Amino acid sequence: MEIGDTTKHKIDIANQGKKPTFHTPNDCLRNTSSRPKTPQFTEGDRFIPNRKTTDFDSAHQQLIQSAKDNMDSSLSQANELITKQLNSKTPERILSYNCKVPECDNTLSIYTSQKLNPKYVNRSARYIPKEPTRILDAPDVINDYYLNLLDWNSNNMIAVGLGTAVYIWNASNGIISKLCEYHSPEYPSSLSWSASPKYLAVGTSNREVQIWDTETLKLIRTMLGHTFRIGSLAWNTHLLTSGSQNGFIIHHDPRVPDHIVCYLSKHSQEVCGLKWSPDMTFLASGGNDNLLCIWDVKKLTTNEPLHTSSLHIAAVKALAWCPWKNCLLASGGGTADRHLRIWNAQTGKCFCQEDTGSQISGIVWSERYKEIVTSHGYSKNQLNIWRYPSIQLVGELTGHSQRILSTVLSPNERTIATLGADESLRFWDCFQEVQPKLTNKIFPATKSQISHSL
Amino acid sequence: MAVAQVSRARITLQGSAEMVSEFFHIAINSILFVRGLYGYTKFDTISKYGLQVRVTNDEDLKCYLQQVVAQLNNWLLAKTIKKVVFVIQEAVSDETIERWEFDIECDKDMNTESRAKVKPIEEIQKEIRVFMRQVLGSVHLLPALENKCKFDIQVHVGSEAEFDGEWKDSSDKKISTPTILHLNSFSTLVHTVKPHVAYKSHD
Repeated sequence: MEIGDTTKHKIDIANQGKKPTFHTPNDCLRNTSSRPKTPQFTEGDRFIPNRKTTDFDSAHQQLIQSAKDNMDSSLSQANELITKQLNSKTPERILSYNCKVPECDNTLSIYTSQKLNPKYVNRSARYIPKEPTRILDAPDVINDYYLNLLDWNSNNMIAVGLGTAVYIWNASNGIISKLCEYHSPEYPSSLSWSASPKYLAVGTSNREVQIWDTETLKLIRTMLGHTFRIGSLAWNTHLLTSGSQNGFIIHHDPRVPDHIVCYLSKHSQEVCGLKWSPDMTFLASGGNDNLLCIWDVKKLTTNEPLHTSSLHIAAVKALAWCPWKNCLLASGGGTADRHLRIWNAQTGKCFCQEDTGSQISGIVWSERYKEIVTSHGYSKNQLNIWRYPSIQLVGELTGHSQRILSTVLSPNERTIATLGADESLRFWDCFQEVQPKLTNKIFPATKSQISHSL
Repeated sequence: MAVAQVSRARITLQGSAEMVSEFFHIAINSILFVRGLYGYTKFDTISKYGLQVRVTNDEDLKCYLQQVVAQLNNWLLAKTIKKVVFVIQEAVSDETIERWEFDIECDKDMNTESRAKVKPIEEIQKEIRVFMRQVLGSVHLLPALENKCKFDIQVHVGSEAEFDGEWKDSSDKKISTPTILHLNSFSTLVHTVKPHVAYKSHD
């Protein structure tokens, strides 16, 4: 090595006429750490070196240092390495693998990439009205993805949580009644109708699960047990399941005084999706911890779910069970995930997935047309209609100016109601039975009727 | 009982090296995935440590990682490895914006003949699982990689370490004023891995 030679030469000059040193500079290079340190440079004639007081290491170091100053840039890097080797107490090398790596394509980040032209198939297969048939104002709706503030029961009543109050809108005659109002900052955080259309379960930010009689507008039961707000509720005949912000799920039996049947603590973050399957054998729960769990009703009191999946990479709010096949579950992920996935609850396998291009906030199945509807957030705030099982896009309904928060299907399975963050509740007749021409005769005006206020 | 046998696993130097190098394989894949360095279509999901983790299906990348991990295994066996650093740089400016550092401590007394140590595998996997979850969660904290990036894997080894010609000396790619986030460490008793991530914050 050139540097080594130079230094050796210089030291030889310094030691001219003396007997050969037993430390060659090359030795110095190797053994710095193991050799005892000699005292610091003392005053004296440098041409008559006193071997005992001479520090060859530092001399060598200084020579290299001065040589370095004069050296051109190509040598200085190598020099630096040697200096580092000498200085560091535990010599260490930094290595990197020289092989080629395929180029990163991170500019197509998961947050920004959107499929601009999803595959449209058979657009004209059937007529889907592109406009909502009805728009209601929904003032003060809380724009929180994790809440479930919309439900439709078999008596054609829609319950909706707006700000601190819960309203019930009769979809048959349009009568509005205010069920309850909480004192701010308390607010309703989830709603669910029981199988009997008389009772509505309300989860509140004040950690209470309340059951209201909607005919008399009276609170009939308050159940405690959670320590955080309740963002999701689901009924299984007489059993009410609630999920809270800290990830706990509680099964309540509202008929008995000691209402807590059991606690489930699989989720580590807010449970935002909770659905019982139509035959009431499975419970699906989705959380902000990106977990999707499927629980078996037969093992109700065990804390171990039947299946767990972390395939979604964002919160799992949108959950829906297939109405004609009991073990099929559709789930949709949040902003970072954007995937619609379909699961077999028996095996826990995801057999179908599709990138929808945006946050999924709700899913609805249509038994009549064997289709799935997903509701979305940024950027188009649309409803997508997918054919099952091919998962091909057959329609896209736009209208909301901000993200859709909740989506429910009417009891006659013809209309979808969506609650949007733009403070509107929209009704879409996307599964109508009749032909389009006939429809126009029966309901001549669609747009002009709109805009009722809640 | 099978369960009891598994949980009382004895850990030799070879076994530990294998476990740690496998950890690096999964960890590097996960970081590549969560930081979005490659599109998610280039990853498959597999089950590992009781979690669903993403592993690349890109042939070139697979080959690269396999070779890196094989060499890591050798250094782990030789106990000469000190640190593995996963560096993310901007492709154009070469500026280092993120460093995932894994400090490794080796039990120097351990050799291929010495007695195996005893630590339940479940416990090690649990420690790794916590780390993996933290990696997934770190997405919310780390600044988005806005420009085109590249990555490099740097290994700090003792001067006595042996390696082949594919590995070259490199300079340490530092971040000037990094924000440091410590992640969960794990230990096989033979090797202890202490990870942290240093990143350049925008403010």
